[in-house]
Parts: sequence; structure tokens; C-alpha cells
Amino acid sequence: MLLTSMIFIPLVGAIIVLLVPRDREDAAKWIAFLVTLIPLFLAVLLYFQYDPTSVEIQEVVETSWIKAFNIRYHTGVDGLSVTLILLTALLGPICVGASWKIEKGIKVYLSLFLLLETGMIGFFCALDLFLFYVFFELTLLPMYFLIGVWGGPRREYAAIKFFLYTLFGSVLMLIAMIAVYLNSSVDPGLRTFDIPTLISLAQTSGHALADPTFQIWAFLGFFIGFAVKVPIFPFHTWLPDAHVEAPTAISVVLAAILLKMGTYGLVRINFAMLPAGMDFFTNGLGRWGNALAILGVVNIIYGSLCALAQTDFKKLVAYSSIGHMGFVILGLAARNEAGVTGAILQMLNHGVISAMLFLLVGVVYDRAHHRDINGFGGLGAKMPIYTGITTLAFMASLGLPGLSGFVGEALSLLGAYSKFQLLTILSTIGIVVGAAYFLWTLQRVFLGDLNPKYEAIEEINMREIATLIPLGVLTIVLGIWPHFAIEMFRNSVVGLPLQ
Amino acid sequence: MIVTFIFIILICPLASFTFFAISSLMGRKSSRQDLISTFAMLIAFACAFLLFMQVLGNPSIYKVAGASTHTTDWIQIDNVSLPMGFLFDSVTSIMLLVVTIVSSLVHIFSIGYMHGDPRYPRFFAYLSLFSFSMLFLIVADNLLGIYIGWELVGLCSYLLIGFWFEKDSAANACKKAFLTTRVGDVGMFIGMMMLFTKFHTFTLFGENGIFELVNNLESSDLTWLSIAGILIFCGAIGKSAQFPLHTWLPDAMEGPTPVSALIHAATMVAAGVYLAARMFPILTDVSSLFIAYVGGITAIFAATIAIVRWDIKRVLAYSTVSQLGYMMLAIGAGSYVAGLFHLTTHAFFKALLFLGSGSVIHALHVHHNDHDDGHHDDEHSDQPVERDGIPPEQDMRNMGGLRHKMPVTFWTMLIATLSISGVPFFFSGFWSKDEVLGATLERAMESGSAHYYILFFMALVAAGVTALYMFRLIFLTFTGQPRDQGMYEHAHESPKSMIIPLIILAVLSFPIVNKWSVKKYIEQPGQVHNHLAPEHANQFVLYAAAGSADHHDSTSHTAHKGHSPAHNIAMGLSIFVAGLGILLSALFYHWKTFSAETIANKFRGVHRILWNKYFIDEFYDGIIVRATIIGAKIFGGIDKYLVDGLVNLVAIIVNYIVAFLVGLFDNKVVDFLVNSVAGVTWKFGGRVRRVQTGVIQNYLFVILTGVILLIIIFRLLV
Amino acid sequence: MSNITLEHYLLISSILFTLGVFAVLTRRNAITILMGIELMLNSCNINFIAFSRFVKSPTTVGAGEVSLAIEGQIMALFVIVLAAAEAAVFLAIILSIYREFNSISPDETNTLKG
Repeated sequence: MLLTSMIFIPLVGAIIVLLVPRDREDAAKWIAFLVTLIPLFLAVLLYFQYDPTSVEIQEVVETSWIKAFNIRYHTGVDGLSVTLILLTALLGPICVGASWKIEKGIKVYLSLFLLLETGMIGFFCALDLFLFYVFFELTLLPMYFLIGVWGGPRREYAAIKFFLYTLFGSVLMLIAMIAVYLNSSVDPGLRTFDIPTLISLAQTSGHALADPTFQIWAFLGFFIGFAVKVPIFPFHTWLPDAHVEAPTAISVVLAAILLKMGTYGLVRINFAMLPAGMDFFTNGLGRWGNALAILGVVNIIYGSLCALAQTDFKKLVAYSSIGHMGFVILGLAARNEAGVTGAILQMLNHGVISAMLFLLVGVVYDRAHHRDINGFGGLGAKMPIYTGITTLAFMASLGLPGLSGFVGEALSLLGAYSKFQLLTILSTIGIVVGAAYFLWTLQRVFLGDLNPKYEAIEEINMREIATLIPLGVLTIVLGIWPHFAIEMFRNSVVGLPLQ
Repeated sequence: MIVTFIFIILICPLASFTFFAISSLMGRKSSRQDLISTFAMLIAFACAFLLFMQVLGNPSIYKVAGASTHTTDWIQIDNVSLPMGFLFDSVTSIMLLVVTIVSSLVHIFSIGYMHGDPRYPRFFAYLSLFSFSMLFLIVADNLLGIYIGWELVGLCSYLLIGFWFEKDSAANACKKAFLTTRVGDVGMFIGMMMLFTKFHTFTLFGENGIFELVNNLESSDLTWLSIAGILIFCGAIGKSAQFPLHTWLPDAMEGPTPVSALIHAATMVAAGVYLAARMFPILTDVSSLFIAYVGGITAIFAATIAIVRWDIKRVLAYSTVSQLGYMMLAIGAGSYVAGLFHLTTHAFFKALLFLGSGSVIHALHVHHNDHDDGHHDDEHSDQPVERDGIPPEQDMRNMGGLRHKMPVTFWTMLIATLSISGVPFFFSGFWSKDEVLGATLERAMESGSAHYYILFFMALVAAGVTALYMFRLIFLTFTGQPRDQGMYEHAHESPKSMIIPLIILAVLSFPIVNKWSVKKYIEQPGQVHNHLAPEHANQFVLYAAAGSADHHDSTSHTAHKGHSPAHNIAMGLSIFVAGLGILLSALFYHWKTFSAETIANKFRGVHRILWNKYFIDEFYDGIIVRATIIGAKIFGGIDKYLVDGLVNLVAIIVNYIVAFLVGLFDNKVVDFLVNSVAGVTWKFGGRVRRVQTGVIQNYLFVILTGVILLIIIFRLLV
Repeated sequence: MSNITLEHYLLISSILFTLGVFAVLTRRNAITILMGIELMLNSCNINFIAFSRFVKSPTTVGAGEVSLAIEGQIMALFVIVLAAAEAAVFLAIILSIYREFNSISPDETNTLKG
């Protein structure tokens, strides 16, 4: 019940928001804010209700949906889902808060946002492959409009690029999904989309799903679908464009949640459901054995170096996201406890930190109306609190110990090192370059002489601080005591087919 | 008990920083941050002192190497477990004491020095954060904990170097410091990963600690262990500003002087030495030699650069680099005790030198620019000009004769200078430096290895050069005739809050304190190579296994300086070179028998190399930094034009092909049908639309007519 | 008096209805058009009442008694309510039209002309 209401309350909210009279648009904001608080409350409830010591999937709701194809409405959570649902629910009110200043069609904007939230939470709960796919696609549509209508000058280009790219991926995913469905049983009546069933079938030796060749191909199909979302080189070029054009709150959701949908899919489907396929690409043997790890390292180094070259603040953060998602891929490729825990932790931490970074970019953009890093200078003197929070976020992002970014990175690398020594050593270049671009940005924006244009720039206001504080606190708390998060998903990690 | 004290020591400075962070987030200025921070530090100092006393009275603590007192699982996932805990042994207790003493004194000094700065509270908050991080680094019982503290002190160093961030030079320096040390840290992290992969733990001591597990290694693992040791030492190279990653430390002098004293002289940079000492048991012959060479080269290399500096703080900075090299050399030469001993004495006299220079700068600074938080606008006509980018109040060419104006500063700095120069018997620096030299020579004699003879020679030369440039600093600053009358006129002795720390540190530069603390209570752990490489077994005699009741026996090799021939030779030579250095310095800068300019002109090439610091900065900026940025630009370009271009190209091609094919079908078939239907509809619509008059009565009329017609038709049909 | 038959009522109502139609079709004032519509509705009401008086109720046929067919009267009440509602809507529309066109003549409000 908890999950169902969490999924559909934003949807109801979306409709309510649309019905608000035009001259009461402020009310629409408050309604949307309150509506997003409900899933947050429910998510906290879920956090306390969820029993992390059990390996079972919890809060299961299961009813028949489309009988002809044995498609079921099957939702439930394990530790990984709970973690990501919490993150999603937390970002709901924060994003509404960050959208407070939007003027154009705020009602439609908010209801699309709420629709997006339904899609995201639903995605993390879905246990039926078809439902999973439906929610996956459900996020696409609102995102398309949110970027395409409320975005920057090149919004149409960015929105269409995002849409087509993701669609390209999801078509392959759909094919793989249907292949899995058709292979799940010889008897058409017994075929199923049910993920837990498929996972156990795929581990039954002799079953058609367990066939390594089949798994490799299915793996590829799903992988490309998710790789576009993560994004993994070379499917990443939609990301900088989408981020640059999207409004602040949408960038936040895009970086914090939508990218996680890709990695979540990799864990849930590719890792858990297709172990033989996973093994083929990560066993360190043969021509393909290092493929996933190489992609991770390429993401790290390539993303970081590209970030170093950017002068657009948002593009820089976007490329840094690409770099950070590389650690997730590398950690997953390690397929051991440290690596996978690190990867999942990095997913969560990146969600928190990148959300902060995009919110911070939004703050300065609202005041200066541009994002050219070289066009600022010396803001530290005028905006000390803003500078302090930005420093915190940057430090967390470049992996300073004591803040959450470090734990995920360190664990991913530790896990990966035991398997891919050379690649892991290579990936540490990304750590240095990561520090370089963040510090360089810090210097160009905040240090040095004050740019006279910003003599009268306003300090960050209370509303903006309020959106940042929960994330900042989370960054520090998870950095000092990562157990809070690890405890949640420890059993999900152990339940995966590790090596 | 011990744990409680350690907790208090850690929490005090942390609470002070947290208080500042929260109050400034709420928009309030915490006006008494200076007192809060200082008070927190004094409490920490009191606890550290009590702990130290406990160690003195309780041999069971310092006898057991690495007594881990409190552990808790930081990260725990089935087979992977990363516990965090406190480590408390004699080394910890001494480090805690050193850090809290210097930090407290620097806090007090800063109350006077930073007075009137617009970001005065923030300065103290940063100092608190730094103290916390440093203390955490010291008490961590595992490599990961050390790494956490290690990076946090790096952050504080970054924040404090860039404290006056309006200056471009400061903004550049802080970035450089962070990035340079990060390069080393990455090496350290790789080393840590190597160890973790092998041993599945980061914990150092104890049954399942690295130092215990390392004994199970095969001798074929020796190379692997050497590499791991060297990689971990990379962290120390970065943090302790060893060659070739030393360039950030002189630039770090852009920070306020108390920061230089605390972070860049006494504590943070010494953390590298602390790390090397902690990792001592896993150092193999190869990695020891590597460390010794890095230390030796750094010692002589930095000392030579210091001779030609004019900036008083830069001289001290290079001197710090050089002295850190000494400590590394000691550890590389296998004398753990000598390294830590020198670390302790150096912390006090170098902090004193920096604070003294701060006092001088303060005196001259106030004169020409009342509380100008570091800006130097040279618009006033009587301003001394800035030469070679050195702020006038730090330029020794503007000083001279200041001893009359600032007697306390002069005398305290002189004591520190005598100490660092190795003037015999009454100064702590002599004993610790002698310890280092003796240990190196002893290693050389015992192993018969030419490497260690070379290193001994390098260290000896460096000792002489140290005496030379330190006395040059004293002569140029305090004696002779004032070279800038304007500045001299306005110079004044510093306020009490600045003088008192100087006096306390001067007392600590006398040998009794340090000998009492370090030499007796540190025990040297055994090293792994002794188990693994039988050919070196004879050396192991030196570090006879711990456990003997009398610690004098167990550390026989180092505890009795002067008892072995090596030490006697080293002591004699060290007194000789120190005397030579001082004499040369006096001839050049005091009695002016020779002219330094003439020599400089004669050896212009050498002078140029030294003045430009061996062109290492140029090499880094010109080649490494530029290459990275160009590389990044290339990658950025590739991404923008090639990868994204390909994507767009695919999109265009697909678009084109599909459009063409579909277009063909469209034009010939679909369009025809559609067009004809549309045409018909169009024409028909054109006619019919006239019926729509827009007048409602017309419609009603039509309806009525229709109804009547229907009735008629109905009638007719029925 | 008893020779007033159903036909009389129907005749009256037809006259009223015709008048109503006439008013709707020819008047140049929307209010009068409304009045015409009301006339037509009321003529229907007369029909309903008349039929309810003169037609046996099918529901009571079984009992053999003659009684009023209550459905007709109910229907009339419905129509009255409907007329009231319709008048309200109509007047509101007319007000808006007047604001928009400064006139309530149907001739001038012909912007829907094709």
C-alpha cells in the first residue's frame, strides 16, 4: 500500500495542480510542494518499516494487469530501491522549491514534474519487466517537455536529442525484454515478465534463459538501453546539452535520479538477471573480459578531462557527472562486495552531490544570468555563505574524505583494484583531474579580485539555503557514517551474483 | 580513560569549527570566535598533556607498539570490514603534545597578528578545523583513517593559504598546494589499495594488522612490498613537500604567517614524516633507500635555493623543505627515532622562526598600510617598491638593524636559529640533527653501502648550508644599518599576545624538553625486510626485538648518541660544518669582508639557477600543466566535434535517408490521394461555408423549416 | 363548463407556441428572443398539464379507477425549473455578449460567420 500510494499520489497531485485557477498560481506551487512532501514522508516511513536484515523483497503489491501476456502489476522494494526511493522523494520538495521563480506556465510545469516523480518512484519499485519498462518510458515524456518548453535557448535541439537518444536505447532494451519474455518458457501461457522469477530462471542451469550466448546478447540489449541513460561513453553526448538547456530543478532531477535509473537498471537487470552475460564482460579474461571496466575508466578519464576544458559552469558539472558515473561502472565491473557497495554508494552520493552542484549553479545563474566561468571572479568576498556551500559541494564531489563522495569512490576503487589493477591505477588520473577542474573553477569564480560587474550581487537567500541544507547535511553525515546507507542495501549487494 | 581524553582532544576543535559554520549559515557573525577556538585548543592541550604524563608514568603503554584502544566498524559488508579506531602509543602521545602546543601558541599569536582582519572569526574557525584534522590523522589506527585526516589537513591548508583570496598569488598558491599534494595522495591511495588487496585490512597494528600480516609474506613478495611502500611514501612526498613535489610549499607562504608556522612548518608538513615513520615496519631495503634519497636530495636541494632568497618567509619555507628532507633521510636510514626526534625539535624552532618572521612582518606592515588585510596598494609616494614580486615588508633588502626595535623577537629568533643551525650542546636542533647524521653514517658503515655514504655527505653539506642561510637571515634582518629608514622608523615590538608565544617556543628550543620527551620513550619497531631477506639479517641486530624490560637496551643503537664511533664522527663533522656555515655567513653579511654580489656575479649561471629554483616551477607550469590543459581542450574538442558530431551526423543521415524514401512514397502515392481528397473537401467547404451566417435566427429558421418539412414528409409517408 | 375539452387547451398552446417561434425568429433583441423561448416552453407546459388531466394514467389502469396522470405534472415542473436555469445562463451569456459587442442584437453578433 505504501508503495502504491507513493507512486500514485504525485499523479493525483499532478491533476490537482492542473485544476488550480489561473490567478492563483502561487497556490499551485504550495500544492505541488505539499504533494511532494507526502512521498517524502512515506519514504521515511518506508525507511523505518523496511527490515534491512531480511533478504526478502518487502512491501510487495501484486495484482494481475494484462492477462493475455501474463503481465502483472508487481511492485516491491529491496535495500537498493529503498535507498534510491528515499533520494527521489527527498529531491521532490527540493526541486519544487528550486522552481519557485519559474513564471511561464507554472501549473503545467509542476504537474509534469509530479508526473515525472510518479515515473521515477514507480521505476524503482517495479518488479515486473513490463511495468519497469512502462515507468522507464513514463519519465521520458515529461522530461522531454520540461526541457523542450522551459529550457534555454537551444531547448528544442536538446530535448529532441535527449528523447531520440533515450528512445534508441529503449528500443534495444525492448527487444531484449521481449527476447527474455519469449525465452522464459516454451509454453506461451507460462511466459512471464516477472523479474524475481526471471532471475531465478536465469540461474537454473539448462534453462533457455541461462544459456550464455543468449545472456550475452540480452545483456548487450539492456546494456545499451541503460548505457544511454547512465550515460556511458560514447552514448553521453545528450547529457551536456540536456543539462545546459534544462531549467535548474530539471537538471537536478536529471543528474540525481535519471542517471541513477541507468545504473539501477544495470544492477537490477544486467547484473542480477544476466549473470553469465555480466561475467562475459567483466571476468577480466579474453577480448571482452575487461570491456565494462574499460568503459568505466574511459568515462572517468574522458569525463574529467572534458570537464577541465569547459567554460560553461553547467557543462562542467555535467561532464563531472559523466566522470563520476564511471566510478559506478568500475565498481560494478569488479563484482565483489567492496566494488558493488562502492558503486551503489556512489550512485546515492552522486545523486546528492550533483543535485547540490546544479542547485548552486542555478543560484548564481539567477543573479548573473550567465554561466561563463571566466565571466565571474572574486565572488567569495560578496557571497561568503554561497562560497562556503559551493566549496563543500565541490570538495564532496572531488572526493574529499569526511564527505560522502569519498566513501563511494574509495570503495569502488578498492573493489576494482583487486581485479583490474592497471585500469584502476589509470582511473586515479581522474581523481587528480577532478580536483584540478573543481579547484580551477573555484578560483575563477570565487577567488581573486572581485569582478566590478558583481559589486552588488545578492547573497544566497533563505529559500535557496533551505533547498541546499538537507543535501549538505546528508553529504556530511554519509561521509562520516556511511553505515546509514550501507546498512540499507547490504543484503541487496550480498544477494547479487558476486564473484 | 585514554579514549575519553582522545575524544575530548578531537571534539574541542571540531565543536569550535561547527559553531562557526552553523552561526555563519544562519547569517550571524560569531564575534568571539577567537576566544572560542583558542579556549578549545587549550583544553585539547591540557588533555594531551595529561595523556603524555600518563605515558610517562606507565611503561606498558609505550612498551607495546601500537596499542589500539578503541575500534568501531566504519564500513562493514560481509567480508569487507573497515574498522576505525584510535591508536595510542608513545609516538601518538608526543605528536598530540607537539600539535596542541604549537596550535595553541599559534592561536594566541594570531589574536594579535590577525587583529582587524575582516575575516578574523573565519581564520580561527579554519585553524580549529585544521587542528581537528591533524589530531585525527595522528590518532587514527589505520591507513584509511590516516588518509582521511591527511586529506582534511590538505583542505584546511588550501583554505588557509587562500585566506586572502583577493590576491591572485594566494588564489594560485592554494590551488597549487592542493593539486600538488593530491598527486602524491593518489600514489598513496594506490599503495593503500595494494596493501588492502593483499591483506584485506587497513589496520596497522594488532593481530590482524598489516604489520603482523606482513611477516607472512614470501621473500618473492619483496619487490611488491617495496613498490607499495614507495607508493605510500608518495603521499608523504606531496604532503611534506619533498623533491620533486616540493614546489607548493614556498608558494604556500601566501597564507597568513601564523598559518605558515602551524601548517607549513610544524605540523601538517611533518605529517609526511609521521606517515613514513608509521609505515616503518613495512619499509624494505629498496623503499628505505628510496626514502633516504628523496630526503637527502631534498635537504641539500632546498637548502641551496634558500641561500639566494630575499623574502624572509621564502627562506624559512625552503629551510622547512630542507629540514623535512632530513627527517625523511633519518627514516630512510633506518632510524625511526631520529626522524621523529628531529620532527619534534623542528616543530618548535621552526614555528618560532615563522612566528618571529610574522612579528617582523607585522611590525613593518602596520607602518605602511594600516590593517589592510593583505592588500598592498603601492600608490603612496613613500612606499617602498615591490621587487621581484616580494611584498616590501617581507623583503630582507628593506630590513636591517631591527634588533634595536624588536629585542624580544630578535633574541627568540636567534635562539631558534642557533638551534636549527646545529650549534652544539645548548640547543635542541643540534642533538636531533646529530642524531640524523649519526644514524645515516652508522647505516653507511654497517651496510658498507656507498649510497649511504653519499647521503651522509649530502646531509652534511646541507647542514652547513643551513647554518649559512639562517645566519644570513638573522644578519640581514636584525643587525647592521637599516636599509629602509622609513620602515625602520615605524617598526615596533609586537603586542604581548604575539611575544608570549615566541618566548614559550624559545624555551622549548632548548634541549632538555625535547630529550626528555622523544628520545627516551619511542621504541623502534622491527622492519619487514629483516624477516624476508636473509642477506640483510645482520642489520637486524640494530633493531633488536622489542620486549626487553629496559628500553635503553632495545634502542641501544640510537638511544646512546655519541657512544658509537659513527656518532662521534658525525657530531664532530656537524659542529665543524655548522661553524663553517656561520663563519661564512658572518663574513658575507655581517662583517662584509666579501661581497655577496660579487660572488653572485662571478657565478652568474649558478645564481640564476638557484634564483629560479632549478626551473622546476617553469617545468611544471610550462610542460605538465600546459600539457594537461591542452589535453583537456583536445578531449573537449573531440567530444564536441567528433563524438557529438558523429551523433549529429548519424541523425542527419538517418533523417535524410528516411525523408528521401518516405518522400518518394509520399509524393507518388499518398500525396496524390491526400491531395485529391483535400481538394474536393476544400472546394466543397468553400461553397458550404456560406450557410454559416453567424446569425442565430437564420439557424433557427432553418431548423424550423426542417421540422416543418419533416412533418410534411412524415405525413405524406404515413 | 364541462365542454372545455382537450382540443381547447391544445389550440391555446399552439397559438402560444407559434407566437414564440415568431418572436424568436424576427425580434432584433436577444431579451425578446428569450421571451419567445419562454413562450414556447410554457406552451409545452400547457400541453403537459392538459394531457395529464385528460389521459388516464397507465399505472392505475389495473385498478379500474380514473386518476390524474401525475407524470405530466412532474414534467411541467421540470420544464419550469429548466426554463429558470436556462434563463439564468441565457442572461449571463447576453451580458458577456453585451460587453464584447456593445449590442445584444443577433444580427451584429455574427462573428461565427463562415
